[in-house]
Parts: sequence; C-alpha cells; structure tokens
Amino acid sequence: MIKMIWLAEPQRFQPHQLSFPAMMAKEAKSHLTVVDTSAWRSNPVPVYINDPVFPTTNYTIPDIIPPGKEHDAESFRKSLETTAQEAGIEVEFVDGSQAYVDNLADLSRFADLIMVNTSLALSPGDDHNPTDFVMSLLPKMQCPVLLLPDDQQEIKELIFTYNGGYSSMYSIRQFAQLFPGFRNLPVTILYVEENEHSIPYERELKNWLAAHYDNYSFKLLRGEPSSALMTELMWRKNVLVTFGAFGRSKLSRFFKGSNAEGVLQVIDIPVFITHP
Amino acid sequence: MKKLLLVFDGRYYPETLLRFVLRIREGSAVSVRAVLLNSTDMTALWSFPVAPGTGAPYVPPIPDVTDEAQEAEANADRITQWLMDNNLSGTCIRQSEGPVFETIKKESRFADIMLLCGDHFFAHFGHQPNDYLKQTLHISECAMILVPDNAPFPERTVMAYDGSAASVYAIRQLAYLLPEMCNLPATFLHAGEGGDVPYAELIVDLAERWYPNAHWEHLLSSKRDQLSEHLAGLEDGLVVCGAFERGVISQFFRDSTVSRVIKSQNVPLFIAHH
Repeated sequence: MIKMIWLAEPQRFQPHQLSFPAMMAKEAKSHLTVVDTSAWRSNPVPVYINDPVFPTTNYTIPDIIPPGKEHDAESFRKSLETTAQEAGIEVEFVDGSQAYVDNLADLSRFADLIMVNTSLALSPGDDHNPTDFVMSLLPKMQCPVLLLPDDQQEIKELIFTYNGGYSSMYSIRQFAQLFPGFRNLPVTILYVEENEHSIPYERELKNWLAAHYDNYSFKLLRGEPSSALMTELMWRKNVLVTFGAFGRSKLSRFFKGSNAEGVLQVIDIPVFITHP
Repeated sequence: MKKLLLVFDGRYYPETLLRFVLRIREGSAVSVRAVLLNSTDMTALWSFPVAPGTGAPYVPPIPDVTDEAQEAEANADRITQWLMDNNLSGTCIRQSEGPVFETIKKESRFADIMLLCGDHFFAHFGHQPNDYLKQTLHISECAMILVPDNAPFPERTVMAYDGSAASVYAIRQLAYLLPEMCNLPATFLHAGEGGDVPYAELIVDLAERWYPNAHWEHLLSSKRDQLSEHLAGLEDGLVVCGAFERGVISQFFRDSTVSRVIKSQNVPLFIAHH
C-alpha cells in the first residue's frame, strides 16, 4: 500500500483542504499519513530599522497565523478525523517534531508521495507562493512531491510536460505507477519547441502512452520554455500537471537553466514534481 | 498495462525471456517491444578502449554479416509470430544499424521493465557480466530483470537492503511494477557491521505496506564473500538490488557482489536505479 504523506498546517486548517489529499489517497487505495507541522514554525523575529532621519524603531513581521489561533492538536485531530470519515479514508497522525523536519529527506526515501500546500510557511515573513519552505523542500525530497493549491479542484485532465529527456519521462512514468486509476482521464503532452520542430522520440512516446492511457493528445508550444508554459498553464483549473525535474539545485534542469520558480508562482493547479 | 522491453543480440532467440513475459502476463496486462540489436556494433569501440574483459587492444570479431542478417530476420519473424500466437500486443523491430547503447538508452526511457538474457547478451564479447552487459545495466533508464537461461519464474523475492536510497528505490519499484510479486515470501537481507538495520522502523513500515510475507535476515559484512554464494543459491528467487556501478553504490551490495551473482547464472536479478 502506498505511503502518502500530507504536511498539514493545523492553525490554518479548513476541512475543505483535506478533500484533495483524500481524493488522491482514495485513488491510490491508500490511507493518509498526516504530519502536524506546528512544531516546525519559528517565532516572529523583531526587525530593527536604522534610519538616519527617524529614530531607531523595531517592529515584528505579522504572523500569517491569525491571533488567537494557537495550536490545539486535539481539536485539529478531531476535525481532521471527522472530515476524513466523511471522505471515506483512514488517516494516521504523526506529530512532526523538529527532528522530523530535519530528517524529512531521509523519511521521504521510504514514502511514495509527499503532498504539501504551496502556502505552507514556517516563518512569518515567508509569504511567497510557493513559500520558501516549500521551494526548499523540492530538491531534497527522495520521492515525488505533489504541490497543492489552496483551492480544491476536481481533476478532469492530466498535463505531462515533456522535453524528450530522461527526467520528464521519469516523472511521467512515476505518476503512472502511483496512479494507474487515472488512465481514463484525457492526457495532454505539452512540448515546447525551441530548436527542434518535432517532438523528440514521438513514436516511442506514443507507444508508451498507448499502454497506459486511453486518450492522449499533443500540444506544441513555441518560445522560451518557462514563459510558454506559464502562458499555457496560468489560467488552467481542474488539471494536474507533471514536471520532470526540479533538479538538485534551485534551478531546474527541465527548463535548461531558466527559472522554474516563475512557473510555479503563477500557476494554481496541482503540480507533480519528481527528479531522477 | 506494463510495457515490457526485450533487448538482445539479433543472432539469439530469447526463449527464456519470452517464457518470463508469459508468466508476467498472468499477473498483469503487458505490451511487448522486442528490439533485436546489431551484434556487430563498431561504435561501441568508443566505450571500451580495450577488448572487453581483457587488457588487449580491441580487435572486434567480424562475424559473417550476411549470416547475421538472415538470423536476425528469422528471429524477428519468429517473435512476431510468437506475439500473435500468444495474443500479445506488441512490436518486434530490428536495429540492424546504429549504436547499440544509444538504442538501449532511448528504448528504456519509454519502457517500464527491460528484460535481458543474462547468459546470451552479446556473449561473443566475453563471459558474463561482460562489458556490454555492464554498460547496458549502467545506462538503462528503466527497471531491468536479468534472466539467466532456464531460470524458473520466481517463487520468492530477496531484497538487498542497506539503507541507501538506491536499495529502497529498487524495493519500491518492484512493488509498483510487479505488484503480483508482493505476495510472495520476501526476504529482506541486510548486510553490515553489527546488528543495526539502518532506518529500521521506516523500512519495516515499508515492508509491511507492500510485502505481507516479509521476514528479515542479517549477514555480517565480514562474511561478504558468502553473500554472493547465498544469493546465487536461491534458484527460485528474484534478487532485488538498487544500483549497478552508479555513483552511489551501496555500501555492501556493490558491483563485485552483483557481478558474482550474474556470473553464477542461476538467479534472476531485478535492478532499478535512477
């Protein structure tokens, strides 16, 4: 049975947030391991400004957790259990200690999928989308990561980004291995034409797709890969997209050195990322 | 549906691999792509500065090309007929020209499992594992099963575990690709100094999720030499290991051990790396 981990943020938990992880767990016939990330949060740090005109002042970056929303593990669990029961899945709780986050890379080695909301932040100033914490996770993980937007979407289509390379195909194959039940969904292969004007290994790819998906099509984009993908994906909803490699460093190999973060910042759909 | 890739020297008819394909199909639907490779690939000269398996300068044997073409043609026809007789979807292609390793790399990128014959894979280039086989295991981009001649279909599995990412990856890949094998008796074999199994809690959790009939064996690394004998003696087993000549070679299940198991030619190997 697949081990599926969801990194949950109890202070901002809303029952609807569970619907997508629950749907994926059901699809994979798995139960869901929910990790409480409360202990990972750092306290607000005062910031000092030395201004030549105004006297030295200090202020604290406001926390994104609303005041009064202190962590209450017990009520979080109860709320999650109720929601999980309604969704028809089993959940297992893990208290995420600081040691857990320190060892997350090793732990991911033994997991099949890690799901994380793009808004999961561990420090008050981390308000990017995806947050710096989420971006820092990606290169370290040793299993696929599914980035979840905050609004929950039913998946009606799959988009596989493809560049002919090993890493894009690796990601597509990993997705198919974990979620064979999606074979009936329409699949679009997105290929960005840069120098080559035909899809690399098109015949071989079609041959593989035919064995795994009933309905697939190709879409060719033109231009610089990350810009073309941004334009294509930024308005999309109800789709899940796979990306081949985030790379071991912050720069993506898939985008051949351009900034993958840019694409992740503008799209608002579930993103499946893995790297060989 | 799993896409199985069979690659072999075009002069050889892969009876053992075809038998394995039929047994795998009993567990899950498969499509087959058989690729008959050019057995006289001169471009491989670039990969081997010396004759494979020797210290001598490389002087490739020049088999009778006409004979090879005829043999490969006949084998391709037989396999196509075999696919039809067994009601299997698939294709059989002859790669009579072009570099062997480029073909294997490309084909394995678009396959789920690659099956290789452990005894006959470019056998004219030396005893197994010869450099052709080693290079193939190294560059492959999908999971592989190395099947020795006359090996029975596995009745049990042996997971070579040392805590490394590579060994865990292979154990997970077997579960994804051949889930029907998860119910076979599975031995998780750990080798190392002392008795501590690395990440014991996590690997036990993984084993319980995927392999309900798992049990553990521990082998002291001081008895390293016994490992290959131990593995090679498992005639009805499938040895699952994670790396072959990769940068991150597992501490204990390293090349020499895997090579010895291949050399023994009687136990199938499932190798997955990324």
